[in-house]
Amino acid sequence: MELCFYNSKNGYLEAILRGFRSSFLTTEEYKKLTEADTLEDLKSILEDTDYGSFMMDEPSPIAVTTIAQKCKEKMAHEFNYIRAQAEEPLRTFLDYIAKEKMIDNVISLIQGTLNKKSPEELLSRVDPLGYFPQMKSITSMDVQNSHDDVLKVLLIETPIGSYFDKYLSTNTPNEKNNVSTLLNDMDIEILRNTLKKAWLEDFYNFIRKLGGKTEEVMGHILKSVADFRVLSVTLNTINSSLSLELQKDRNDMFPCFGYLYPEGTDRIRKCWNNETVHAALENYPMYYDLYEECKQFYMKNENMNENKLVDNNIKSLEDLLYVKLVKLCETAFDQHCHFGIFYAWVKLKEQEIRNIVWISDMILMNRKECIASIIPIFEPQTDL
Amino acid sequence: MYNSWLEIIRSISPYNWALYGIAMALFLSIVGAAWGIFIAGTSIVGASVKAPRIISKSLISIIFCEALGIYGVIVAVLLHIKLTGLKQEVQVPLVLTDKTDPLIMNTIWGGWGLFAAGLTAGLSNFASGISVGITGSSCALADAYNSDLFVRMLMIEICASVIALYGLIVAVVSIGDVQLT
Repeated sequence: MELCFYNSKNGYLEAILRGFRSSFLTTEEYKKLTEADTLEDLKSILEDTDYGSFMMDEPSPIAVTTIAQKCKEKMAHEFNYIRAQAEEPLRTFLDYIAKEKMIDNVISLIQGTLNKKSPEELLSRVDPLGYFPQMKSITSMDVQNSHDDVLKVLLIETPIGSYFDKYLSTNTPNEKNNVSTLLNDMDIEILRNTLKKAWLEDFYNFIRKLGGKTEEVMGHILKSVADFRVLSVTLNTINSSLSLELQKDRNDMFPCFGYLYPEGTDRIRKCWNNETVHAALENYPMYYDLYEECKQFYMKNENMNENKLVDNNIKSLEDLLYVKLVKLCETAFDQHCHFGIFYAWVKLKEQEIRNIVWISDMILMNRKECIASIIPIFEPQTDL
Repeated sequence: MYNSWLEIIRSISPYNWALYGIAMALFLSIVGAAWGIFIAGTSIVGASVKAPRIISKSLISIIFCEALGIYGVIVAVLLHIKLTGLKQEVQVPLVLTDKTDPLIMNTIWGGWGLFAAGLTAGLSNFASGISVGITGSSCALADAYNSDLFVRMLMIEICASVIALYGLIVAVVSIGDVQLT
């Protein structure tokens, strides 16, 4: 029955989004990009694709960051076009997608303000998808001198305020919520991960309420994303130089849903090095194999300290997880009449921007042989 | 005085049922056609933003839906022709024997038959409308992505629209059988 009623509210937007989907860079275009010698050539090749003249006004020596920023602006422009016309519940769904970027923006603004960078520089490097007007007041936040309540109001007023609230209430149960010490002392990464966990759980509850095909498709995607978070948080803390006590904090960053929840996360909680994590993942063949593949990266990391890690054959967990995410998002487009395609499009566009930035970096560093490690999107299946 | 619900329903005049048949035929066909048009139309409009070439071909889906409205009108008009005004008030007896007046028999058969014919045509157009709409929307989206797919998807749509024709045929045949003098 969903098929009968979906189109009245969302038919136009879904069709527009599928139009965007057909404008991803193809393998031929990636080949052309790899043959570019300078960034100017790259820019002119991109002009032939759907990107068009998006960088027309940039002055001649373009930097890689400008390319990335302009690509993100184009994506944000298309996303906002869709969001402006969306009706409930699609509107809330798209807001959730934007909130993820808002979290990243707020964290980078806080970091920048603490390091005393200028507001204009910070605001120009903000991700345009997660833009919200109250952002500017964060740059003028004075952490040392302001009263705690002012800081609290500032953070809670943002659209992601409820996640900050949850973080503050769980982290300082005994004393009064002492925001300024929290912002100065604790690791910003822990804050970011906790906010992302709160956002993921919120999003998951929302799609559970929506039900139907959206729940089916997005449920699968979000559960996989939650598992990826668990794996990457675990590996990052184990392989970093954090003390064991801070490592215990990582347990709070595991989302309360996902295919690994609750038995898998329970076993991973008790692990303290790579081998035990490997053993804990025994029951989940996909993650077990994933871990096998990227083990080499981390062992090599321990053995030698030189910068030989851009070796093509050894991928870190992040690279492998990106590949898995791309596959998930591609399959989301195979069904009609659900909201998963909006989320999938945003993720695939991000991956494409990462690919373009990687190619530009490799061109600048004159290491064209590494260009093959970009992740192709919607590659035509030839092995059927 | 009526003794049960059955008596009440039985004694509703057959002309009443016949006129409801006309209303149902037209109403359900129009709802089906409208539903189909909005399902297919929103997708066609959105998909043609990035791929303007699909517009002319996708109008076929809309025309299929429109045809369902026309079938509804045909059936309604045919039904109406059979009804030439009340000749006499008919009392439907509870039990029909072979001694009942043939006029009453004809009227009862006519009334209920026209109702059934109208409902047949109406409901089949309604179902076909939704079906053509959904396949039309998928057809437009597939065509926008890859133009080879259009003709194959059109086969499916043709099948979806032919089922309305079956309803029309059955309705017309049942109407032909009726003699409301």
